[in-house]
Amino acid sequence: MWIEHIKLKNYRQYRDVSLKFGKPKDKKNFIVIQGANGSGKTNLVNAITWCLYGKEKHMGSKYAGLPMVNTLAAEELENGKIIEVEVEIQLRDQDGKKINLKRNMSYKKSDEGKLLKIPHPIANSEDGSRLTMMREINRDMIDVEDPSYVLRYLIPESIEEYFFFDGERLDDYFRETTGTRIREAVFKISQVELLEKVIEHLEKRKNEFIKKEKHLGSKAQEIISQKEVYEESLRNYKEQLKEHKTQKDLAEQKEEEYNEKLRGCSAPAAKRLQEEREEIEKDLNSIEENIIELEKRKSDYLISISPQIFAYHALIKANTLISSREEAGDIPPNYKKNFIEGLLDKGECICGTDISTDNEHRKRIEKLLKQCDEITNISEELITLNVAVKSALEEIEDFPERRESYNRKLREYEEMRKSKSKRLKKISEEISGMDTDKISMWEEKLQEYKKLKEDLIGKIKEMEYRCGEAEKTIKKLESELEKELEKEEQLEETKNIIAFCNTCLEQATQIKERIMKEVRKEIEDKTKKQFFELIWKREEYKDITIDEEYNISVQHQSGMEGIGTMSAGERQALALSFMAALNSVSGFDVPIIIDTPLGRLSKEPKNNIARKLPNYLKEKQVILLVTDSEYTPEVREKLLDRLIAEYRIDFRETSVGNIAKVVTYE
Amino acid sequence: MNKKSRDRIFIDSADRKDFERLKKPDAPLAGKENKELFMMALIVGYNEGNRVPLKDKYGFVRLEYLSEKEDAVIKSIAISEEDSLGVLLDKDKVYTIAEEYAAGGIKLLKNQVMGKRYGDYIKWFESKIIDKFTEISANKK
Repeated sequence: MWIEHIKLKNYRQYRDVSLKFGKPKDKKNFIVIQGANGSGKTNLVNAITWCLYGKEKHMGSKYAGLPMVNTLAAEELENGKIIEVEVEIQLRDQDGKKINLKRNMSYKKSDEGKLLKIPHPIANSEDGSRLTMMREINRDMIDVEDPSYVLRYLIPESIEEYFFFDGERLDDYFRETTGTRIREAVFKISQVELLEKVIEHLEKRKNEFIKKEKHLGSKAQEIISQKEVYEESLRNYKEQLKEHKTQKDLAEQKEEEYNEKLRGCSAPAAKRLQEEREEIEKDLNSIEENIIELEKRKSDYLISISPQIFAYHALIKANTLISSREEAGDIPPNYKKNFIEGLLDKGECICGTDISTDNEHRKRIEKLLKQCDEITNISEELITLNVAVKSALEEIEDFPERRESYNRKLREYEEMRKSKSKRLKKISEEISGMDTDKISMWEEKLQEYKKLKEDLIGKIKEMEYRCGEAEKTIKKLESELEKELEKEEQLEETKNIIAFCNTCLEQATQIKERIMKEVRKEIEDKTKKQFFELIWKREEYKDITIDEEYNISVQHQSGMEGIGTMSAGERQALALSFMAALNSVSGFDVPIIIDTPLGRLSKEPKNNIARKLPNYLKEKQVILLVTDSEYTPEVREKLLDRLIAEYRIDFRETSVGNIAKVVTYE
Repeated sequence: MNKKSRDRIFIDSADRKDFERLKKPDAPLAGKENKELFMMALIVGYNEGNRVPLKDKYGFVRLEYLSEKEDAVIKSIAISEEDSLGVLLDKDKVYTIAEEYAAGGIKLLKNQVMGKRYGDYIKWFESKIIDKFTEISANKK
């Protein structure tokens, strides 16, 4: 599917704009829209998501809460009159058939000059707007009665973020230490919600069947009541957990937003301090990781050395006994006892002499036997054992030095942590104390969201623990209930129903897990393939894997692991590859729109990615919304052969608001 | 148990839960292998002088997984216990002594590990090792 054109009327800074995108063909699949920061690139994506879902899903703080009607048009509108905001998208499906989507929203200018939203008389969206859809069927454009329903199967809202994404936020997927976001992405792409609903429904029905049973004993009834209480708690905990996670994501986004503001602020001192802080935060992260790793190594060492130290006297005893036998010349022995016994049994000496009768030779051998004890049979084992014992004793001697070396290194890290934390505090104080109101306010907000995020992480952990406890209790009560039901002879039918529900539940869970596993594997393969297409230092990397915990890992040729050691450009290449994989695995044929794909990169990695970008998603229509600093002549040159269309947002600020036009790039 | 076929170390089935508990994610010994937990239980039992015969055996560690030093500790304890190198002629006896000490130590080990706050066990354990090391050094003088 590809976008043929987009028309915007009275939408935010776009008063009347029409954009034509050609069909991707002959290796040309890119559309570039270039505009300065704040010119309205992201609002183009918002216009698309508003048209599709009735929501501006990428809304920044600048426009949040403001009416979406164009300010100049609103200014010119007479009091008492109505104005319409309209976004129209024309798509073409795989067969080239048209799909036309149009969303309208009306505003009225009150007698006092205020803009009021007027819900559409036949609104079909929560925000009071109306979406219409026309599809080309048999050369006719047919009106689609339930556009939102049909859209769910064409471009589902739940996975919108994997089609229209913010290049600057891509890194977030790989910055977390857990694979939560990746797991969520795989979950959404797998579309296993249906199975989740099946599981939920089966649980509910099973409980209903049990409750309806009239012949239940009092013990079983008590267990059911108890189970209901825990199930209710579990539902609450899960809801709270979801809420906390959403809040945490929001806090993280806000934190990044303020980081960005400080990073890009006009005061050089604040900018420099922000850059220093980001470096220190990175260092602190790695120091903390080093401390954890070192503490683990120290703990492993203590656990491995402890048996030797606590068994010291036993080791000394063994060493003394074996050494004394060695000193006495018994170890190694001249003969082993079982060797001499063997000769006597055979009746022949190794030299061939007959010792089968009670002759002088046999007596000599028997004398040798008396001098040998059984220990001679295990002489090799004793020699080996004594070597190991001596080495264990030597290691005990090394204990204070080894321990001190761990402690010294830990102290060093602790010192570094302290001094860096102190500096962070100082930086925050310095920024807060700056006499520009905005900067000190941004800093205050930044610290506020940081704290909020930390609090929410704590709450998430607590809620996860509570969910785990409730789930464990429910499981236990279920098995108790099953035992109780077993005792009842009259409940044959109910027992069969429960058994059936349990089998279905087990199957549904297994299917869900299997689908997620398969999708995870597919995403892993496709990310890898795309990454090796996109990365310029191909020979440096060996493999990319997504493990069962959804942690993504990148292996260097040297065997070293680590997204942590990748440069910003390489990480962006990984993120773009991951998104392309999600997009492809989703099974939805939707164009990709990337807002600021090269946003945070410096010149060199930017050119490196641009050089390889033409290899990206060859068959899809890719719309890139780029800033002027991203779309440098070098970058443009690299993309030129792959461009279908190229636009520039012509933006001007007026006394009543901002106006943007989209013109052909020159 | 046929002496010649002894290829693993056993614990008492009744102690299995305690050993498993020590490996749970919330325990400071999470991620440790069976042989490490066995060695720790063994030294706790040995230092307490508490030997408890196994009632119902459950295979816990294959002998081939023991390191040379772990095996040396087990054999040295047997030698010291019997005051003779001759005990090594009876492989089954050597490991039975270790198993009985581990059975005598596991409950106490579990209390030591789980009875403290998460980060405190290793610190406490370190201080115990230092005490023991200091005692060894003092005796040498």
